[in-house]
Amino acid sequence: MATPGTAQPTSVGGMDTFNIAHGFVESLVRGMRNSFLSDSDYHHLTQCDNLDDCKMNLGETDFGPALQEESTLSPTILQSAAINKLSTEFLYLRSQSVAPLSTFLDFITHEYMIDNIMLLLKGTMSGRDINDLISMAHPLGLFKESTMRSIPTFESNSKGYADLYQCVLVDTPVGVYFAKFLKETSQQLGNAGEVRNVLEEVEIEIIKASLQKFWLEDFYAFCEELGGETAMMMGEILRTRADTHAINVTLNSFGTALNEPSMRLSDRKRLYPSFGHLYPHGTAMLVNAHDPDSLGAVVSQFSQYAPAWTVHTSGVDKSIDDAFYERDVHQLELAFEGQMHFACFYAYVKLKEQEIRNLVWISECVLQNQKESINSFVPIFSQHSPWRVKNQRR
Amino acid sequence: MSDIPPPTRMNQQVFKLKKKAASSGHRLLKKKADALKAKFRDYAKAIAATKGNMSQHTKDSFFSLTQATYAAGDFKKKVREGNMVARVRVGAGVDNVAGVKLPVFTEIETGAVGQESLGLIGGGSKILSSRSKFTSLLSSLIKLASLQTSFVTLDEAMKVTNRRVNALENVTIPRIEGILDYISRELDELEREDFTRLKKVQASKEEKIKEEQVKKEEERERLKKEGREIEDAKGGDCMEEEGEGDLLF
Amino acid sequence: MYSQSEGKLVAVIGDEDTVTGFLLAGCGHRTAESTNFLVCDEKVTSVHVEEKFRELSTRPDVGIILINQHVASSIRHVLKDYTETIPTVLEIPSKDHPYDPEQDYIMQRVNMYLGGGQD
Repeated sequence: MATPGTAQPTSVGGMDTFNIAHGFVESLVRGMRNSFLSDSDYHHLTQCDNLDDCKMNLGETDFGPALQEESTLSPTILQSAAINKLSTEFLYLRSQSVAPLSTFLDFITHEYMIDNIMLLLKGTMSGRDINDLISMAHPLGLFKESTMRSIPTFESNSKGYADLYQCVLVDTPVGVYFAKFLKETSQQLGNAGEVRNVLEEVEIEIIKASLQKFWLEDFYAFCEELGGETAMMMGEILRTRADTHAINVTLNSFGTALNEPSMRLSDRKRLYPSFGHLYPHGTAMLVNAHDPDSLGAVVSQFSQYAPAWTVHTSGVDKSIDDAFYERDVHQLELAFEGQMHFACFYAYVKLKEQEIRNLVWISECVLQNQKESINSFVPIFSQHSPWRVKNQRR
Repeated sequence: MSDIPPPTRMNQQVFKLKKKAASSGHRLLKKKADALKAKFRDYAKAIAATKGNMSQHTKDSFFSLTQATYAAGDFKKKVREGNMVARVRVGAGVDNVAGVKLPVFTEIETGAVGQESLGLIGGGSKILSSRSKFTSLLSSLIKLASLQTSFVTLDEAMKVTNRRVNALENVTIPRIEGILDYISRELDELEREDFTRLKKVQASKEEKIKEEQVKKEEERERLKKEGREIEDAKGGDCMEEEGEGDLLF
Repeated sequence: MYSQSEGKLVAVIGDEDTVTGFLLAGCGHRTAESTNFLVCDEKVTSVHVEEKFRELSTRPDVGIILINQHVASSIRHVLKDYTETIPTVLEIPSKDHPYDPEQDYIMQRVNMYLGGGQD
């Protein structure tokens, strides 16, 4: 998989130069790879009868210290402890890194920043206290506190929102995505960027999907520039992500206004990223998909996604989201193979996210006494993963 | 029992009518109490059944939310922010059951549009499924609320009706009967008194007549003895007596 | 816009999952003055809950108040004295506190009536 000393130019550095700048940080993240819960950890957790048992079992794992201070365990407490732990680890990695790795790591945080800004804006519209909102924000996506706190000080009218955008959002790393979005939308709406109208009329989720699209395109371009292993691995990962984005947007738009024929071309198409296996022919076809069957017809033509679609349509237990999660975990685990690239950092964050999802799932099932479904999660680096078992059989 | 009505025949009639009214009122109320009791029983059964189902329904709904969170990420915080117009409201109506007005809730859809693009980039179908579970749970809770308010109102109405039945049975009707008894006794007594009085009056009248007759006899005897000397006076009397005869023409 | 006079609101006082679920079902209503729901997390005290309950129970546009059983227990003294028919108070289980008929006054009366002999 890894081709050492590749002839491809890369600013990341080849086998001979990578470690100078990034060796230490990479070794850190590889060490952190060991902190993932193992099969036996998961097994013990699923056998628990109540959350106190879970806490006891987690005490033995990497999560032990994080949970020590908590007197009781609830899924919410577990989730925030785990996210804070991830955030601490990530920030440490970031603090030890230099360009271009530092920029790469920053890119990873932009996804969470988009989420946080949406939360802050929407919450301010509802009149929520800014402190509450900041405490609910994802720690990986925090930007300057002063910027965050200034959001509610803007008036809730046309001018206020325009000011908010000009003074505040423009400064944040994701401001540029906002700018692109507003430009696109005002071209659509025909008026000169009425920020407030946009925020009120377009549903928050759609704004978020647009911002995420811009972010994906930006990140992809950056990785391509880096070249080498990074471009190769991240390229594949991000292409898959772009396709997933497009498929999900299409699938979840059925039954909503976004699926109206007029909206499909004008609004839904805008949400499809301009890269990926599906681009441009697949996305062109997706524009016209108006129900699950027509969507299925498009997706099944692409070998990477046909299996996921089969799972979705046959699935009683599993949905397309489960199929995507499984495929993602497989892909991300591979990123830990080979060296001299940045993909493992991205993989680490994303795999940890899946682990947190798993923990919340298991703890909820224990709490709500839903034992039959408790194993519907995707373990990481598991010896029983279908791809690992398949390889071992050979 | 402040004023006892005077024991007259008219009052007797009045109170006889009152007793009739009270008895028929009592009969009707008893019927109403029985009807209410039957309805009450129906409601009690319906509530027991619905609450049993609700327990499982709620459990399933909460689990669907967990599944949606797994597939779509933490969207719970987003749901409660932003503008919101209620899509579901309840109409508070009134049902008439055995003469009792029972409050009843009906479900009203306002047609307001909610956040329909939750989970757009992932997990949308699970969110939809959770939404539909909670929607049906809400419907069933609205029905349960109806049953519950009706149950409580019926309970009160039953208590009131039973109290009135008891009041009639144990207080009002006996009191009326008591008064009627008193009146008829008094009337009897009065009758007897009258009778006795009449008799006495008759007796004293007869005695008087007897006395007068005796007196007359004595007068005659006396006059007979003195008769020849004072004939003129008597004659005068005679003539006057005869004179009365003359007046007949 | 929508006929406000037609129909009353369903209010919710409960934990995050309960409120989220019923908001998804369409109960939620927000105006400049207030909302018809309260999320009871660690920061919310029983005083808050009591205040919100008093507010909701005296609003003429609220028809039903859904409240988690365990939250209701924290304001039991207020609920005991509450005798209005509308808004009706309906106690519901939560994700981590399943339905307990012992705590349900109505259910007690129902069982007493159905179970314990006729009159």
